[in-house]
This record gives sequence, structure tokens and C-alpha cells, in this order.
Amino acid sequence: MDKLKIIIVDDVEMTRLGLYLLLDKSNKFSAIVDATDGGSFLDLLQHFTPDMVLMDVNMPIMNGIEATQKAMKMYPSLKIIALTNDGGEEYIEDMIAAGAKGFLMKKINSLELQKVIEVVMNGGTYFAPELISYYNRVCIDHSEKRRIELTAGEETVLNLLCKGFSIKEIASKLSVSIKFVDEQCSQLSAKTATHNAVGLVLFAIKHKMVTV
Amino acid sequence: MDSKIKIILVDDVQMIRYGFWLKFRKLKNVEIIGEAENGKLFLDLLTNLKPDIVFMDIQMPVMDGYEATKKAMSHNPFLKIIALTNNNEESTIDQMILSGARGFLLKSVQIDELQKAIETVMNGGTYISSELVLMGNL
Repeated sequence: MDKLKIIIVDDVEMTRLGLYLLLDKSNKFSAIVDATDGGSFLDLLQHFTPDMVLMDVNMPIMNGIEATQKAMKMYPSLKIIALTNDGGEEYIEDMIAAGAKGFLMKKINSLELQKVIEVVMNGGTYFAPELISYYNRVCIDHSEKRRIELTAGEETVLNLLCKGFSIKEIASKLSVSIKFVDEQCSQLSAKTATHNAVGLVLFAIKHKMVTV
Repeated sequence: MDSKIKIILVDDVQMIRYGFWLKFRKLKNVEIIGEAENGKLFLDLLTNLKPDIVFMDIQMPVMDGYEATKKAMSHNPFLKIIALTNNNEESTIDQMILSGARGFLLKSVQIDELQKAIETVMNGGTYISSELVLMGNL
């Protein structure tokens, strides 16, 4: 692999210096330039295309997501690797959507950083294991949130709706008034943000609220 | 009102020259009056320009920083040259100082230290980045 040109973008001096030294140690770079903010980085891009960019996610004025979006518009094949401290995991989706090819924690060591750079230079993507497990947890949490709290009445009515019974039939089965069943349906619609029985049934099945 | 400190930048990699330009831009009292990509082109510049400080990369093709510094100093012993290096280079501080350099910085130098180095050298002193001393380049 030819020696690479890389730009580091981070608002914290110690991080910039730390990354610079990590990269320099590897002797794989013909040029390392650091920028203190997204604006300066985009300035640099007007004149040069680096081989790779290490982009801090959390920066004031223009954050890494915006800087990545703007940079990818200029150079769609630009290889940007996002970097974040603990707590930055929530930005992974936005950075991927913006076009980042990798997402790393800043506490990465020199050898790992070199490996990741090589992977991304060869056209691959890389996401730090800590971030993947965070992402998995988040997805599970999101689907758990769909387990909406239902009253006994709502749950019973929902189950029967999903079995194909009409409102009249449900009222009859439960020995309750049609009005009562209607009320349960309204409450269910409100809780699920659906507008009709079909929507409600589909929602319930999709989110495994019932077994059919 | 003091006029701006005139700087010439010498480095064979354009992206690095531009990276330094970005840093100098944040210092209010300096102005880049010229750039060169090797020692020979720098010496050509010196026939027309009168910089206060020259930031000189050491490893360059055609003519490197050592030779360019020696030659420039022989024409103008008052020229203030600050050497730039990466820690991978087989460069030594004493060699550059013998050539006549007044300062020695890593290319990763940040703005505050850049300002300090400029002030020190403009006031007649020598500035050597502490990381270089620690790395044992002496």
C-alpha cells in the first residue's frame, strides 16, 4: 500500500496530537494534517483530497455528522472514519447515514487503528465491537418499548380482534356492551397510533403483542 | 502598530503546507509571503523576498533542509529558520542547529506552541519543542 495522506479532525488538541503520533508511529503516511473544526477541514478539502479522514463526532459549531455529510457531497468516494469518546455511541446511525466507513472509540490503540485504516482503504467497513454491542442493545430496547402497556380489557379485545371477530361478536362473547368494546378499540388505537382495526391488528402482529 | 511577521513555508508536500497555512491563519500577527516545495526553490524565493521567519522541512527532494539552511544563512546570517520534522525522520537537532536553525518543531505542532516558537525566535532566542528533546533526537 502506498503511503497515505490523512486528515485528522478534532476540536480537542490532546486528541489531535495523540492521533497524530499514533499515525506517525506506523510510518504509513506521507502526510498527516490536523484540523480543529469542520469548517477548516472543509476548507482543506477545497484544495486536497486526502486518502482518509479521521473525524471526531462531537464538535462545537459544526459536528462530525454535518462535516461528513458536506465532505461526502464534495467527494462521494471519500473514506471517513468516525471517532468518538464513551457516550458517543448514539451517533453511530447518523454517521453511517452520512457516509462514514468506520466508527471507532478514541481509546483505540495504534495497532488496531492501523488495521482499521487498512480495512477501510481496501474498501471495507469497520465498526468497533463495543459499538456493535451498544447498537444491539439499543435495537432490543426499541422493540421492547413497543410492548405497550395494555389494560386487561384492551388486551382481551385486541386478541379477539386479531382472531377475526367483529366488534359486535366481541361484545357478545365478553358479555359487555358494544360501547365498551368501542372504547377499548379507541384506547388501543391511541396507544398504537393506528386509525382502524386493520392497522391495529397489523401493528399487534408486527410487534408480537399477540400470538396468532 | 507592528507590521505582521513575514513567513516563508518550505515543505515538499502541498497538503502539509496547506495544513500549516490553516494554523497560521489563526495567528493574528503573521502573514505567509511565500511557499516552496524544496530547498532550491526556496533559495530562488529568497532573491526577491525578505521573510522574518522560515519554516523549513528537513527531508525534501532536490535540496534538503540542512543544505538549504546552510546556504540561506551564508547569504543572510540574521535569517531565522525554524526546522520542521516528523519523528520518523533520521534528523538530529544538533545538525540543524549547526546549519544555523533557531528552532525545531514537530509537524504536529499546535497553534499555541507555534505562537510561542515564533515569539521566542523573533526575540532572538532558540525554541526546541520539548517532545523532540524527550524523543532523544539530540
